[in-house]
This record gives sequence, structure tokens and C-alpha cells, in this order.
Amino acid sequence: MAAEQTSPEVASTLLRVKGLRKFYEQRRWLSRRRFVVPAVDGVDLAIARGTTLALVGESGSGKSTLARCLVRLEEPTAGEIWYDGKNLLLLSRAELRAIQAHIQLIFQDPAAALNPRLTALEIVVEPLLVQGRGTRRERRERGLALMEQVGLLSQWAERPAAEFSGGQRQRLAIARALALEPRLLILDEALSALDLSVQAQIVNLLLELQVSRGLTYLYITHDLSLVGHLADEMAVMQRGRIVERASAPELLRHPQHAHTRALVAAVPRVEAFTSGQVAP
Amino acid sequence: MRFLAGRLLHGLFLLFGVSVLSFLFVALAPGSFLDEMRLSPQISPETVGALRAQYGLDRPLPVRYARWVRSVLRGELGFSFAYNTPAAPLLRVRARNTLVLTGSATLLAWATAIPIGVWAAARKGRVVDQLTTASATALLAVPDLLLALGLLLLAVRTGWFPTGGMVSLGFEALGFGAKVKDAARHLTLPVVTLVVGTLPVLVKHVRAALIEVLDSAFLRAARGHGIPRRRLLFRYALPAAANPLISLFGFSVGALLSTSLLVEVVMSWPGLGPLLLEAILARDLYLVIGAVMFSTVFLLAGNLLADVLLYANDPRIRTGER
Amino acid sequence: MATHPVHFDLSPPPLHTARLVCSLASGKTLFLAPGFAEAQPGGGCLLHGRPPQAALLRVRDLTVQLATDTGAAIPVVEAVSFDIAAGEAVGILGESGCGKTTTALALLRLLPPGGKIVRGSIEFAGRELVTSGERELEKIRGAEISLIFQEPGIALHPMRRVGDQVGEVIHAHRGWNWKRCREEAATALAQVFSGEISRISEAYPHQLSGGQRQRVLIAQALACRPALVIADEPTASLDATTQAEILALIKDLKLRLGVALLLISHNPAILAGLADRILVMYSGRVVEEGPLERVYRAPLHPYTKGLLASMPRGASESPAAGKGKLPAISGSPPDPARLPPGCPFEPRCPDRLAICTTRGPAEVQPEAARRVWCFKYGG
Repeated sequence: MAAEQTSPEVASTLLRVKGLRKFYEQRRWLSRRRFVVPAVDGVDLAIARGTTLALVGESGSGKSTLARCLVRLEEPTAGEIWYDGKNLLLLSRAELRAIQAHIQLIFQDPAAALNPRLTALEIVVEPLLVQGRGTRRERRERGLALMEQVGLLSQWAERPAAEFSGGQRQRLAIARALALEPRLLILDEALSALDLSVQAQIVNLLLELQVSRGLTYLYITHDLSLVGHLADEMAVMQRGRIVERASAPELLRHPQHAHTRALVAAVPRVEAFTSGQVAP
Repeated sequence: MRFLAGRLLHGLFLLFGVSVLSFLFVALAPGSFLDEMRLSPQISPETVGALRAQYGLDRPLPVRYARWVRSVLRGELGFSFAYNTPAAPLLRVRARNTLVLTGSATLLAWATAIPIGVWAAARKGRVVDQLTTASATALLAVPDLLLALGLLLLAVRTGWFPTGGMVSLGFEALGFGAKVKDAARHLTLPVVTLVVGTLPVLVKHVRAALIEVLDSAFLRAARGHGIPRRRLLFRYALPAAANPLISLFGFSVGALLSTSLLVEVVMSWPGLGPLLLEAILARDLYLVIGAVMFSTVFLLAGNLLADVLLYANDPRIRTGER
Repeated sequence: MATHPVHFDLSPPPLHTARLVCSLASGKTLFLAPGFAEAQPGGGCLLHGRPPQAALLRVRDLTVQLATDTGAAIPVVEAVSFDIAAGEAVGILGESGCGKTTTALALLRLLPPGGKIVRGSIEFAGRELVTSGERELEKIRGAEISLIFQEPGIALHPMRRVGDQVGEVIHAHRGWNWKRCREEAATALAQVFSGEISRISEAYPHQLSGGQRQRVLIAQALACRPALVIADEPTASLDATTQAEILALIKDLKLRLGVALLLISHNPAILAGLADRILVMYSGRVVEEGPLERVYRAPLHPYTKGLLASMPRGASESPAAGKGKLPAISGSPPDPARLPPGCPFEPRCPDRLAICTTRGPAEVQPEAARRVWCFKYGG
């Protein structure tokens, strides 16, 4: 299988996943039996450049495992991952390293994803340091510029991460993710732990960045409420498989699959303000 | 059950490994039992040679090891050159004595450490707690040897306690009550030495484990349900804090065993300690290995007990098996 | 449609959930809390959101401080006052750091070490809780006022069976023998679980799913039939579908048992189906209070307006119209250790006035049964 694949249709697709499988094996000591847990069981996905795909599913549906496979935190058991026309699973280490800068992952818990002892600036420039880019001064300048872009004041640059609020930490995580000029951001429940008003601010920031930098997003969540604001396309995952996929407004308005309908129905709604009418 | 079988198997492998290693170490160590004899001008080299052959000291190591294993399986546990008898009876008696000492010390140490630790944790930060921590630290700094000698001094000066041995002369003649009293008096000082030596570590760990649990969400939730304080402490906090403490228990058995060897020597308690020392000095090979093996068995038994307790205490470990 | 109100007058009002049997012309029998219902002709009942009863819980000027590691005292709750009547459901809406959880903990005197109630009064059924001793409080906690903690994953003892843990609560308050407690625990679990509960009762917490654990917490809270249940973010860390189930369960239990409910959440949509009245908290203070529907339809305080506007449209009545920005309140909540002298919301307020930096606004009642703390309406 060739490591590269080019065609006009592919050129507009930034990420394509084909038949991805990730199985976990459990063995008991001194036993013949093996339990095979299919976390991801044959997933096909494609995300067009500059758009957002929302991957929706409950806990245990395999969506987080899929995200980890995409950034190679886990090795897929089978399948293909095509990024920008290159098969990620066939690349050499050096090539992979270059590509990894393009795909960044933002996690759910901003407190756990950032080293609380490092200062804000140190956190943001860390990827530059790791990849050995630029001089110290250049990194500092870039770090401050990034902080400003995500709405953090430059005078906070020397503050340790522990002193930031949840929303500010998530902004830091985004700034850090942007340091290497990625093309694809994977947001793994990145908004779920945030308060409403902070969520709104971060959503707006993400939308701005998508337009100004031409970013592509994979938004993974179990909560449908924000999908309408962020996503162009939406795919629903259940037990390791994609059960439905369509444009986001279409899917939210007319869900077909039972699981999708359940998820849409489960979003808490501010009803027409009746408190407890009991019909005769 | 599978869990237990696995642990036992593990233990057996360990015993095997220990036996091989200790055999190697002692056999390869410079000098042998017959060295003194060799140096003595009165014994002819031929006699020494004959003795060597008789004891099998001229055979290659693996052969000697195999012979020893066979002797173990026969129940003789090898042969003591110095005492000129099979090693088993000697070892058994001494092992029993060590078990008595170490067992009592372990029980007493834990029985004291838990209440003190709980008490200190429940009053964290207050004067009582700070005093406890300070005294524990101070005690930790005192070497066991010093402690042993100090207590011996006390015994000599005051005459309240005997200065050595397990029983007095004429023990057999005493009535049952008097026998118990006599044995207890002899047991006191060595046990106290061991207990005072390990207590600080145990208290600190019990306190720390409990403090961590007292801060946890389920305890606050239980408090929120109005569960009374005492019940909270003993039915909620202690079982949750037990996990690290059970592991510590396994470790403490090992620590107490090694300390007890030293204390036995200093306080003339007829256990494995003095026997081991004697045997090493005399290069009494099989006695040394026998003593080491017994100690290892005790250690493994302690750890096995800890494993079983852990299994019994924490359902997450039990169902983690599935 | 004309209604014929039927009032049930009980004096003194009962402390615990009143079980009034209302037999209607249609032959239906309903259990009602006092003042909660109006009979309608032809059978059926109109349940009111606000029963006109004496307050079950009366909180006045509650002020709580927490001590930091350095020893400094930070005001976390400032001059909070509200009432909860028997059978009423009150919601506290606010984001992280607004003091809602601390308020809930303070009600039961469960503040973490370093937390202190500096002033105020908490009157529950005629008793003053701020000055009550630990023994008295132990009797109230779990039996008269129950608290459902935030995270079901860690709020249960990991090494004890779930049925036992419910039984413990009953045992602590009823003093029955264990067997009876376990039976009663089974009844409590049956209220929240459908189907075979013996399997659940024998299970350990780590063997249950998040939703099941949350149900167990609810069962524990209701086991001794308290008059007031405080639920702190009852659906945090749960999946969307599980969340909907739990909310439906709470709603159902509230209607059936008539307990008073204090529901705490950062999400207005969660409070919508459950609370009759809400308090909006910001930076340790109550900034607005009123009947839920009125506050949601016509919010008075700029923070409430901003918060409701930033709700994702997927959660509101019409499904999302498409990708696009959300109206958001700019800035972040103030650091409680460094509060400005005036209104805490002033730096972010689109409607700020000059007076807003000078002092905190006083309570104003612009309409009946609504209170707001904002200079726009006076104060």
C-alpha cells in the first residue's frame, strides 16, 4: 500500500479514517481464555479542510479511544489513517514527528492537562522547545502572541498555571496546541468541564480561530447542546461503530437512528415554563 | 481460591530461589568448617581429608545442593557439623522460639499502633497529635541496639526482669500459672525492644493513612448522612485506610524478623539469631542455610497473610480478578 | 377555565412530608403536600409551584469564610438570605466559585476545616442550626435534611456493599436492628431502581455505572424521609441520556413524596423542569431571586441575562439554527480574595452605572415575589 495517495477528491479532505479498529485484550494469569474488547470496531470518517466534525457518543462508545489512535497515543489494531494524503500508519519516525505537529489534542480536564507548576508562558512555548524551534527570544515572542490570541493578558505570562481558573486554563491549552501551527485540533470533551459563560467564550474563540487560521476541528462530546454551534457535520458513535452521519443541522433536526434520537431527546431543555401539570 | 494457589506457588518459587542463593553464598564464602581443624597440628591431614569426604565437602556444589534438598525432603534439613546431629531438631526449637518472640512483638506493636494512630489522626493538628508525631520521630532516631542494651541495663539494675534466656532454671518444676508468669517475664524485655523499635514507623503510617481517608469524599458524604463519629471512624475510615496498612504489615513482619535476630543475640533469647551467628562463625553450612530458610518461610507466611487480608478487605481486588 | 381552589389548612404546619389523601370525584387518590394543590372540576388536580406555607428553612444573612493555606480568610458566601417552604423546590443557579456548594455545606454545618460561618442564621423547623451542637446536627443530617453530594463516583464507600451503605443511614437514625434496616434499605432502593434490586443491593460501588451510583445516592438521601433534600449538581459527570433519566427520577420523587428540594446547578436547563423558584448567585452573593419561569422569561439582573443568553441553543426550545457564535459575557469572575468594593459583577456588566463601583447594591423588590440586587432597579 503506497504511503501517499493523491486525487482531487482527496485534496479537500484533511483527515480520512478507513476501517479503523482498536481491540483490547484481557488475559487472566494461568488461563487460556482471552477477553477481547472492541473499543473501536470499524470506523470510517472523513473531515474536510476548515470544517468541524462532531463525533458524538456516550461513555464507552469508543470516541476517546478513536481520538487517541488518531494522535498515535494508542496504536490501532487495524485500519488506515490518511492525513493530508499521507497514510500515517506507514510513515517513518521522522516523518511522523513532522506530521504530529499538525494534529493536536485538547483534553477535557484543563487542570490535569497542564503542569500546575509551570508558568503560563512556559506551558505555551513547551512544544516549540520540544521540537527545537526558534531561539529563546523568538519562542518568548511567539508565546506572548499566542496568549494574546486566546484572550489571556500578557502580564499573566509568569503566573503559575495553578493560579488560573478552569476557563483560563483551557485557553492556555488551546494556546499551547496552536504553538506548532496545527491544521487539525481534536477537542476531546474539551468544553464539558466548563461553566456556561466560559463555554460560550471558548466556543467563540474556537470559531474565530477556525476562520482566521483555517483550522479543522474534530469535536468529541457526549453532550449535544453545543454541536449545533460548532459543527458542520456530525457522526454518532455507539459501541465502537458509527451509526449515523450527516450534516449537523440535519441530524439535530431529524435524527433517524434510535440512538441518535435518544441523544437528541436527552439534551436538557428549558421547557415552556410549566412546573408540574398533572393531566386528569 | 485461584488467588491463594497463585500466591502459594509464587512463595514456593521464592523459597527455591532463596535456597539456591543462600547455598551459593555460604558455600562459596572463604573458609570451611574444617579450617580450624586443619590448622591444629594435632590432627593429621588424612583425618581432615577423611572428614571432608564424610561430610561431602569435597563434592561439587550442585551435587551437594541436591543432597541437601533430599535431606530436606526427608525432614532432616541437612547435618550440623558442630553439633554432630541432623539440623532439623535444632532448627525447629530455635525457630519456634523466634516465632514466639516475633509473633508477640508484631501483635503488640500493631495493637498499640492502631489506636495511637487513629487517635492522633482524629485530632490532626492539635497538640496531642503534634506530641505524638514528635515522640515518634524521636524514638525513630534511637538505634535498636541501644534500646536493647538500655533495657538490659535496666534489668540488671532493678532486677525486675531476667537478663536473658527464655525460661528460668527449674522451669519444669513450676506449676502452670507460675510457668506462664515466668515465660512472660522473660519475654517482656525482648518484646518491648522490638515493639518500641517498630512502633514509630507504624504509628506514622497509620496516622497518615487515616488522615488521607478522613479527607475523602465518601467520608464527608457519610458524615452528611448523620453517621455518628465513632462509627465513621471504625466502620468507614479504618477499612478504607486498611489497604496501605495491610501492605505495611507484610513489610513489618520482614523488618521485625531481621531486628529480632539482632535482639535475640543481645538479649540471649534462644532463637534463630544466636544460632545463625554461631553457625556462620563456625561455617556450619547446613545450619546456616536451615536458619535462613526458616526465616524466609516466616517472612513469606507474613506476606501471604497480608495478601489474603488485602483480598478479604478490598472488594475491588476480589472482583478485579474477573 | 374556572378552578375551585381547595385549601388544606394545617396548623402548625407539619415538619415532615405531609401525606394528605385527596379523594376526588373522579375516584383518583393523590398524595399532596399542604397548600400544594387545587382541585379542578371533573377530577384532576392543579399542582402549584408555590405553597403559601410557613418556611421550612429560613436563611438570613449567611456569611461564610474559608481559610487559605496562608491563613487569610476569603469571603465565599456573603449575606445570603432565602426561604424554602415545605414541599417547595428551590434552585440555586451559579457558576464555579459563586458559593453555591459552600452555601449548601454551610446549611448542614459540613464546611471543610478552615471554613467558618461568620454571621447569619439558619433556622430549620424552628431550630437555629448555626448554634446547634454536633450531636443535634448528626440527628438532623440524613434524617431531616439530606445532602446529595456532587460526584457519585467517590461519594460511596468503595469497600462496602451499596445496600449496606443505605442501611447505615437508616441504622444511624432509626436505631433498628440490622435486619430491619436492610429491609428498609431495600425499600428505599426500590424507589429509585426499577426491576430486580437484590443484585444492586449486593453490589459494590465500582460494579455500578455512574447513573446507578447516582440513584444509590438519591436512595440514601431519601431513606429516612427527610423534609428537605439538597442536591448539588446531581447530574455532573453523567452521560446525556443518564442525566435525563436522573432528572426525571428526581422530578418524579419530588411529586410523589412532596419533599422540599434545594437544587444546585450551573446549567439553567437542568433547573428548568424541577425548580419552582430560583436564586442566582454570583461571587458569593445572591443577585436575583424569583419564580423560575419569570426569571427565565424576563431576567432582571445583567448577569442572569448574560448567563441565559449564553446557553447553547441546542438546549433551548428551538433546535440549533446552525454554526455560529454564542452571546457571551466578557471577562471572568473576580478573585474572591481580591474583590472590588462595589458590585462584584460591575467589571463585566454591559449596563454598569457610576454608582456601581462605590458600594454593593441593596435588595430591591421590583415586582411581587421577585428580588434583585442591582442599581438599575434602585438600591
